[in-house]
Amino acid sequence: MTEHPLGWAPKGRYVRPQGDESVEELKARVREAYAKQSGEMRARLMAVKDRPEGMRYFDDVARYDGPRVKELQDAKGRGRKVVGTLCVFAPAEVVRACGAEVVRLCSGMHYGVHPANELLGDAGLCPCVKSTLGGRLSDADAFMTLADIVVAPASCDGKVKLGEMLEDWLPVIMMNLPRVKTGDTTAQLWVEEVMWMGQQLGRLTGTEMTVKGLREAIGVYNRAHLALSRLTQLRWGDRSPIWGRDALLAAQMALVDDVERWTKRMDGLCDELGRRAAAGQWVGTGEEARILLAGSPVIWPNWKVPNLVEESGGLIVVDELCTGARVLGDPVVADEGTLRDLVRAVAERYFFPCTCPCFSPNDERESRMLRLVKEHRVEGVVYHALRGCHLGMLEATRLELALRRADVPMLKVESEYDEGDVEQIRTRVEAFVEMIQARREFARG
Amino acid sequence: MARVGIDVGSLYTKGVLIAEDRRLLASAVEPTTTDVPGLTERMLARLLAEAGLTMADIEGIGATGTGRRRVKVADVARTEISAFAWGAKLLHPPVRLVIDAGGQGVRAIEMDQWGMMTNFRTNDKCSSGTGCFLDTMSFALGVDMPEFGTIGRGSACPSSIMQTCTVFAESEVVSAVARGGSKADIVAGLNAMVAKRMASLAKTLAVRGDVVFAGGMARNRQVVELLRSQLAHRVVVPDDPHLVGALGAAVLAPKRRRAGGAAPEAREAAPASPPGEARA
Repeated sequence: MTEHPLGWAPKGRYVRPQGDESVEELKARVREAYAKQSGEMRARLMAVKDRPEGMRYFDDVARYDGPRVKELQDAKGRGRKVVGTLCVFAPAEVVRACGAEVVRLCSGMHYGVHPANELLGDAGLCPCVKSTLGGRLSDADAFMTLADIVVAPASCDGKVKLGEMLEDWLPVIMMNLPRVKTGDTTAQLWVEEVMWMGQQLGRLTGTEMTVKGLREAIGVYNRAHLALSRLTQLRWGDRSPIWGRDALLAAQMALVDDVERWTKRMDGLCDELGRRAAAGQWVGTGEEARILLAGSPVIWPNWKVPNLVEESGGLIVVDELCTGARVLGDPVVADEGTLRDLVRAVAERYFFPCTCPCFSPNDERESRMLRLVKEHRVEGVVYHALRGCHLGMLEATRLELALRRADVPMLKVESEYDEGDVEQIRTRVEAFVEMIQARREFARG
Repeated sequence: MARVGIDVGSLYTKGVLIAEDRRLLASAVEPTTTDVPGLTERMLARLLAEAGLTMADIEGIGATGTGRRRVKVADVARTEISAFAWGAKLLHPPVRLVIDAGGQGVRAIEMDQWGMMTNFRTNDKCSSGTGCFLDTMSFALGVDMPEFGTIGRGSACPSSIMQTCTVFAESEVVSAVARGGSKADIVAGLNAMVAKRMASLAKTLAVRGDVVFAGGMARNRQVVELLRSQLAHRVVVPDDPHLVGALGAAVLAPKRRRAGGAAPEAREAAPASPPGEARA
C-alpha cells in the first residue's frame, strides 16, 4: 500500500468492521431518511406561491443526492480532490488556489443524529456535530463520502473533537484558530495556520498555491460576495421580493456549489428579484413582523425555525448566521504583493469580521446586531439556539440585554433537529409576532 | 353585544361569556377531549343558555390554548401567551407581570406601563412544576388536589425535593414516603419546588410592578403564599384564575362577527387584524 502524501493512516477507533451487514442496513436507512427530510422541506418551500423562478436552481443544489454530487464524482474521476470543511473559518480561496473542490460538511440532517447518539450516548453535544459525525458513521452523507480530506478549524469544542474523530476515515487538517481576538500574536498565528493548510493541501493535490492562483481565487470569491450583497440589498426595503427562508437557502448553497456557477445563478436571481421589485411584486401582505434570524447555524434541511417564523406572520429580513449572511461576510482586500501578503489578506478576512460566539472579546457581534436592526428596521430578533451549543446559548443573554436596551424584543428558541417540539415553538413564535404587531398598532396610536 | 372566549388547554377547556362592559355572564370548565370541535360547540351552547342569550347577541368568539386552531366556532385564534396578557390586564389594569401555570405549561409575561406585552418566557420540553406534575404527585401520595394547597401549610420542615424531572421526582416522593416522611412535609416540599421554579422563570424577566398569578395552579393556596414570599412585588390572584386565558380570548375576539367568516386557521396564516384592535 502506498503511503498517503500527508502520512495519514486510518486510525480504526470508531470505524465499524467491514462487511458488517448492519452497516449497509444503517446506510440505507439513513439515506432514505435524508432524502425524505430534504424532500419534504423542499416541497414545503416550493409550495409557497409566487416563488421566484430563480430559486429552482438552488432547490436542485439542495438535493444532496442531486447533480452537484454527480459533478463532484466526475471531478474526482479526473483526479481532482474534494476538500470538506467543517466551519466558516476554512478559507475557500486557498482551497481553490490549490486546485481542489470545496464543500461544507456540516449537516442539518435530523436522522444523522441517531448513529452518533448510539456511539456517544447523550454527550450533551449539539445536533450539528452529531449529525455530521452520524453522516460519516453511517456512510450515508454524500459529500462526506466524496471528501478526500477535511479542513477543521478548531472553533468550538464540538467541532474540535468532531475533526479528531473524523481522522478514522480520512485525513484532517486541524487549524489552530485563536479564540482570543486581542493581542499581537493571534492574527499572526492564524496567518501561519492558513499558510500551513495551503501547503498541506498543495502536497495532497500536487498543485502549489501561487500568487496568480490565489489572486484569481480571491477574485472569484469576491464576485460571489458581491452577488450575495445584491441579494441583501434587495431585501432592504419596506417590502421584500423574496421570503427570508428562500434567501437563506440560496445563500447557503454557496457552501456546497461550484462558486462561479453559484455566482452566475445568484446574479440571475437578483436580476429577477429586481424586476419583481420594479413591478411591485412582493411577498407577504406587508403586515409581517420584520425579523432578524440569529444564533446557532441553521443548516439545510433543518429549516424548522425559518419555516416557523415565516408561517407565523413573520418575515426574515436579514440574518447573522454563519450559514447565511456570514457565508461570504466581507470581500478580501488584496492588491499586489507576495504570496504571504495575499494569504494574510485572506486569513484576516476570515478572522476579524467573524462574530462566532467562540471568540472573546466578541463585542463586535453586539454592535453588528444593533446595526443590522437599525438598517433593516428589524422589529424583533429570533435567536435560534441549538441544544448543546453552549457558546451560542451564553451569548444569547448578552445580546438579549443589549437589544432590550435598544427596545427590540428577542425570542430565544432552544431546539434540536427533530420535529417533536415544532408545535410548542410555533406557539411561542406566534406569540412573539402577535406581540410585535400589537406594539406596532400601539405605536401608530 | 357580548363576547365569548374559549381556552382549550392541555387538560381542561375553559369558556367564558362576557357582557359589553366586560362583566362575566357565564363560564364553563370541561376536561379537554380529542373532539375539540364538538366539545367547544357544546360549550358555546351551554354558555349561551346560562346567560340567556342567543348567537345573535354575540359579536365575537376568540379561541386560545393548545387546541385553539381546532375551535371551529371561533372567529379568531390567538396564542395563550397573548390571551393571558390581555385577560390579566382586563382583571387588573396595573399588571406588569403575568405568571400562568396550567396543565403542561408555565409562562411568564412581562408588560410595560401601557399594558403592552414586552417579553415572555415559557417552559420548554419539560412539564416539571406544572399542573400535570402535581397531579402525578397527588396520585403518588394519595392526596386529593383540593387538599394539596392546604395540607402542607403547617409543615415546619418541608421535604427537600431535588429532582426536577416529573418521573424522578415521583420516585423521590415514593422513597420519602417509604422513609416515613409525613404527607404534609412532602406536599410542602413539592409546593416549594413548584413556586421556586415559577419565581425563577419570572425573575429572568424585568419585574417592575404588580404580578398577576393565573392558571389552575393559582388555586393552590400554598403555592401562592410561597410565590409571594419570593417575589418583591404584589402578587394578585384573580377570583377565577383558571379563566384568565378564556377572558383574554374574549377580549381579543374581533368586534364584529363576519357573516360566514372563514375558519380560524385561514385567518391565522395572515394575521391581518392586529390584537391591538381590541382596545379601540
